[in-house]
Amino acid sequence: MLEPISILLALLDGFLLVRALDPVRNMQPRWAAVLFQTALGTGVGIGVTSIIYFILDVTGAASPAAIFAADIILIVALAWRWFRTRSAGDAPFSSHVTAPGFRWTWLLALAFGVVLLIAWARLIQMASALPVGEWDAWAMWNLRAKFLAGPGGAWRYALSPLLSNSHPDYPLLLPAFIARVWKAGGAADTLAPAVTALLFFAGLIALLVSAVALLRGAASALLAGLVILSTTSLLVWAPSQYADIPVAFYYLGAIALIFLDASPAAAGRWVLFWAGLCAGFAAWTKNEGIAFLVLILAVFIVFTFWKRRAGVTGRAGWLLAGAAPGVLLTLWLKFFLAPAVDPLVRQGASGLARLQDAGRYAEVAKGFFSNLLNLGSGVTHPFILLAILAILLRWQMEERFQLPCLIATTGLVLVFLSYCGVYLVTPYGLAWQVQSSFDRLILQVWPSFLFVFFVLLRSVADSAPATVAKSAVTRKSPIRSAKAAAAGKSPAGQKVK
Amino acid sequence: MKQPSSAQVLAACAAVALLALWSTVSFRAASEELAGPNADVYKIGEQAARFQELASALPSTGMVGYVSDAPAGQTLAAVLYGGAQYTLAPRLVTDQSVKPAPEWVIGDFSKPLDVVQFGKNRGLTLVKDFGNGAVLYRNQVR
Repeated sequence: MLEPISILLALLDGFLLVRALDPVRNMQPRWAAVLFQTALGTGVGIGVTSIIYFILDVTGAASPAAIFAADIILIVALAWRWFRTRSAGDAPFSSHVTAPGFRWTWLLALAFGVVLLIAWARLIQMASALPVGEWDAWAMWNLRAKFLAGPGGAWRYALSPLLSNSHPDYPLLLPAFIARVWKAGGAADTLAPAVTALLFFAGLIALLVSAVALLRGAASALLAGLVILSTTSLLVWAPSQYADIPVAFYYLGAIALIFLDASPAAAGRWVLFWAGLCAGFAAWTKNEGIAFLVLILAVFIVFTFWKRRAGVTGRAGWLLAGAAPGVLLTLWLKFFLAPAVDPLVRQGASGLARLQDAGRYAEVAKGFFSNLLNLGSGVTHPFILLAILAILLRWQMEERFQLPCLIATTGLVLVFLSYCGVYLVTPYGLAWQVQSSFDRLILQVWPSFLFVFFVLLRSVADSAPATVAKSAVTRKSPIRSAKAAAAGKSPAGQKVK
Repeated sequence: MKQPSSAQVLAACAAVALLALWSTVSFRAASEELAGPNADVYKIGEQAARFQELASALPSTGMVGYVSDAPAGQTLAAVLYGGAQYTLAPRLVTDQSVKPAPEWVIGDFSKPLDVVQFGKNRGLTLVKDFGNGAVLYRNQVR
């Protein structure tokens, strides 16, 4: 009984934290803003409570009482802040474009609901049929969670070089969260990891749908939801209890927030703070997340300076401030707690010699294309769905999204190239490594790719002139904004390509 | 760029909705095995019952040695070793040859054999054979 309570408290922590520093306070539609807060809150709650537990564990203070006390203190403090913010008056205005009613949105919602229901029912069946998860779940992630939940100094075993087959230097967000739930509940059963896996999957879908809805309207968001649910390999891996879905969640969170920052209704500096936090959590989830963190920060800083956006230093500062917890924990882990034992890191210059082997490039390329094909099957492959949308709806790049788009696409491409680079130098058997992991690496960036695609796609509710609700952000009259929209400009006055 | 007509928008939405429905129904049919009773192909879920008695004979934490008859490098060996590590955690199950040698060593066998002789050959004394391939040894040389 205490296990579900501790999971709910973590989610409540996250939701209240996001509400307290709300990145989408002024954004519409409200259902999408609340869904976004809830989805982001799920990942943030899991990340924050995982970090708190890990610190409690390392300092010898981890106990059910300490876990619940930390949760209750956090919840009371955040609820008080939320109450004060509400009392002081929530956002005094709202700014949104009311899409010119796509009359079939309800049908898209119905289709999305049916697809989600069928997929969700099957995922629960799969999670129940394999409660210990797939290989890496029991051999690595949940094994380390058991050490972190163990008595006394058992947490050290999670980082022991004697676990060389279990990557003891891997980041600990997922194991520490599961250990927290186990410690709170007093037993290491299979419920916590299975529920955590499904929570991340649900959060991922909700994050994608809500973020697209906030930027491109409900119909586009539902289409995005339908496409991601057509990615059968994502559904196969969702209940596996691996860290790839969680890391995909944090990538998407960071990318979506960088786009939301470009919205005139976004809540200022906190948006980039949350983007940084998501990138930091990605680094604290998986080694690939470290590459994402470094590259997205570098790309953000370079392109923001290049475009000479106002307040560049401050904006980069908020991003870095958000990333700080993940960065510091990862540095602590990598340099002090669990020095690298992975042959990939310790191989030295011998890895570079493999770069001269043309056959390895061919094998990586072959693995890439075959795993792209395996994202779906036959005529229902998500690429076919995307092609239909691109051909029939076409593109509509708003000027305000140019910089975020540049940052996101460059960042994601570089992250993916870094994955390919690791394949090229890996000391393990390349064929085995490609076969056992390439599909999951593609899935890590897939939701972010879909998000960028749908932001660039012409909005489904775009065929008639937009009407603009009362706006105190842009201070434009509805008539002026509607005229601007009809003239091919966004409500904020940016040109639309 | 020219705006799409209402018919194009409707066609795009209808096609995506129908194909997504088709995809999910196909996935449901194709994933029957993953949701069935044989989903746990490595039988990791069964290891808890197999090692239950042995686990109660071990200290609740600390390092425990491991020996097996499964040939190293094969999937069977990795499954047995990983399964024992996962099931017996938070004890750290590690190779018997580690220094300093752990006091307790578990034997994890895939087929019937002379467990006493198997232990003797490795400097181990049999403490108890729990059956089903789960054996507890004590290290003679520490």
